[in-house]
Amino acid sequence: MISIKPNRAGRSLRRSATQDIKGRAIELLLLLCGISSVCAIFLIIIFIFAEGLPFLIQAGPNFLISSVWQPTDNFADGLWGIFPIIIGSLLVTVGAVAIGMPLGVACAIFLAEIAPAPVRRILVPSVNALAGVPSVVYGFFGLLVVVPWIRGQFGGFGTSVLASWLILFIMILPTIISISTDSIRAVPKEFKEGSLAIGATHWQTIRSVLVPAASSGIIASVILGMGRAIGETMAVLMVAGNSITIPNSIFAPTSTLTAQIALEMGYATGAHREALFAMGIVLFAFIMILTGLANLASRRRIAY
Amino acid sequence: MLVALAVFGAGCTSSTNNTASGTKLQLAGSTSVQPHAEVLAKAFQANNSGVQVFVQGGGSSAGVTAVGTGTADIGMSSANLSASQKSQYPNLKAVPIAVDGIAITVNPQNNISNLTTNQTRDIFTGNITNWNQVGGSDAKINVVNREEGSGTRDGIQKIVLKGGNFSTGGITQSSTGAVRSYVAGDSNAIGYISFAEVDNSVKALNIDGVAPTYDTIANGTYPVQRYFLFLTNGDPTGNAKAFIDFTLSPAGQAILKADKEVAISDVSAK
Amino acid sequence: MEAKRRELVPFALLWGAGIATLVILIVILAYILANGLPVISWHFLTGEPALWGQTGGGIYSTIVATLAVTGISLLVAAPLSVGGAIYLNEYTKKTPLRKIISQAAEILAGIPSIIVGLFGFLFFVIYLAPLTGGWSMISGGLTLAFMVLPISLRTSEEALKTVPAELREGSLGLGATKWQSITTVVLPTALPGIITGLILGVGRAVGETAAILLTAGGSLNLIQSLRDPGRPMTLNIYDVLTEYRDTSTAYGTAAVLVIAILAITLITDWLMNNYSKKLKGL
Repeated sequence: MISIKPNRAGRSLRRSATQDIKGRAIELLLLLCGISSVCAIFLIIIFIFAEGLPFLIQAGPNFLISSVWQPTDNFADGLWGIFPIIIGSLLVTVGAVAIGMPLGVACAIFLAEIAPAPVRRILVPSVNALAGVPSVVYGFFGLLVVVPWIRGQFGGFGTSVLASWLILFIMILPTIISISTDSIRAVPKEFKEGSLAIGATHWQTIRSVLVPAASSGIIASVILGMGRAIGETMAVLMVAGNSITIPNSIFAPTSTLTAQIALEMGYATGAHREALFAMGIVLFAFIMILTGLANLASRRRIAY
Repeated sequence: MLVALAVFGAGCTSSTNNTASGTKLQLAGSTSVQPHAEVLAKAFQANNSGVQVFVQGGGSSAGVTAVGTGTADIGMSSANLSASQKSQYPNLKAVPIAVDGIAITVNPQNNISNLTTNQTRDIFTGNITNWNQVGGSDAKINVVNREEGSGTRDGIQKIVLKGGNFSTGGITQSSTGAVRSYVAGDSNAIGYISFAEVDNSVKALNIDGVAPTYDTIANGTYPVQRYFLFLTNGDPTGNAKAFIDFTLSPAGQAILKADKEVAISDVSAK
Repeated sequence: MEAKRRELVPFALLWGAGIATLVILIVILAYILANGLPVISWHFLTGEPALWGQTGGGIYSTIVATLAVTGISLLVAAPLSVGGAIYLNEYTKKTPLRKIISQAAEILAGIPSIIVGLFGFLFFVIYLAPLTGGWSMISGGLTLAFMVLPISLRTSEEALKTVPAELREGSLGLGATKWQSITTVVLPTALPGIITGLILGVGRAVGETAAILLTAGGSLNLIQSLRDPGRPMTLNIYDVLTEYRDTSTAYGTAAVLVIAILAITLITDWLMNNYSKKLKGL
């Protein structure tokens, strides 16, 4: 027998007014928490642009095309060309992705479709561990192992475009692998079952059905990997050589936007410092473009 | 978030690091001066238990900026103040604490032992690119530079390059130690570091026949040298003054001398 | 028959890819641990750092500095990210606000650490200097919070999403208010996922260097207050490697970090496995 307790109903009616205020207050508090990420972005953009945009305007397009970088405290005495640095950033990114994408996507396919459960139980945490290794430790490994090896095998400085590629591709692997794996897993079962039902082999299914279906996610993962590569600072700082020239071979040193900022920020003053912030804006622009592309790519899903 | 900030600000010690008479003494600047400052700091703290001395690197220009803006109490510089630095921070006072030689170093496997000033200049400006042009083996010269804000680099530019420009063909390392590590690992490398930091992993060259030693730096016959400066905003006061006085005292100078920095009192050049 | 044999090549390549990834990890870890583990000792972990040019010091002050900046970043980022995730998942429908917040978090996650560091330098070190003490643990920690926030926000949101709607509806049906439902039912269920997100954020904070480089100062002294500058372990590796002859300290510090990261990875892995089992049992 259900007994209705009138007290309870009465109490809850009386409470509702204060509960309402309390509930609304909590909701507001949580809203503020949520807005914090929006505020964070705005803060970052405002401060970086405030410091760097005037310089960018003053330096004009020459900033991006000129190849001579001789910074000084005041604008007039300096030469402000970052073209080789931009090339350096793009070069190390493209190479890292060229190596990381095939390996990463292949590993993702392996994880999603082929690896038996015990292997997956080892490999998935391993990929997470790769993601967790600090960039400075990668740079450490690069400086002490990869750079001397390159110098011994190929001559030159050792700190080079190639060294950057070899370290950066490892750093973007986890991004590509984890997102691609999720994308492949997210393809509806019916696609795979249908393909196998009409007689395709496992590999044919993977190649012609699963991967194309997951392609938007895979592409998004690669673009995000590119974003990670172009934004990497410490590892590149330690293995790229920091030479403000356009490299004439993959064994030549180069400089990237990130490394140059980190290198000079500690002592830059006046116009020099503003120039570094302007470089930050250029870097930020690249990242925005890449993030936008990644979003576009992942949105163009096959309608499920 | 602002609440959190306020709580932290209030909850922590109220000593600001801007007053030289608080319990914190902040040094920042040249990575060439830094190791010696750290030893001096330790000795100073042993005698002045109330004061904590923090030593940071960043490069000579960073030191000038830090002391000029008040972020540091003492700025460490291995280069004289430039005209623009002087006009930006007109109140800076510079106290020379030692003379440091800059060694031009190569890998121990390199059979070159001597370079003229002109040869050195040409190597760093990119006019000479192969070791066989200066009597060595046929190999490309791998030039290692310091970053722009480095006082050591500034010294080389003034004394050896006579104001000329470094070539862009070299790589850049951000500290004395990094340059030394690189030169030690590359048989074709050449790089400049503070004389005090030379160890047997690299070989210091004679310049114009003069080897860098304590005495040749002190009497000026080894020309590649510069003053180490402690900078303060205005005349030094409080802990900053005490620290500088300690550095200039016989005890402090002895510490510097033991580290292969030439004590001011031993300098007979100019 | 033909197709089956042709299958072998792609499958071998795919296996190869998986094994190659594993091998890369093992090589790097082995290198660091082989060189670094011998260096670790009680003295190493608790001793004072050696003076310049001398070897054999300890990294105690760097461990403390790492804990300080990580702690501060977590203190700020945890409530903001969990609160934000709760708001996103429990209080908004497909409103544009939700999209804006999600997008903002995504963009924030993608901002390079050096740019966050540049911002942190301008905002915390220079602009808010009286509050933060300039280059300090506070400046470093608050800067790191910007990087931890998006990670924890995303994972917390995912965790909350997986709580079945029936749980919420059941709780509301019993007469609980929305907030009561959240605190007594939803949060506890999502807790492992949320904690995983926070731990991942901690991992990021512990391993971050570029942002710290510009905001924490770099002095080796043991911090006496949070307004003091300090040198967290990652920065120490960079400094020690490029400055000192003392590669052994660099190896040791790197080994400590790597062990910490491995521990974090294993813990989050275990948590997530347990968590999904628990949810399946519901």
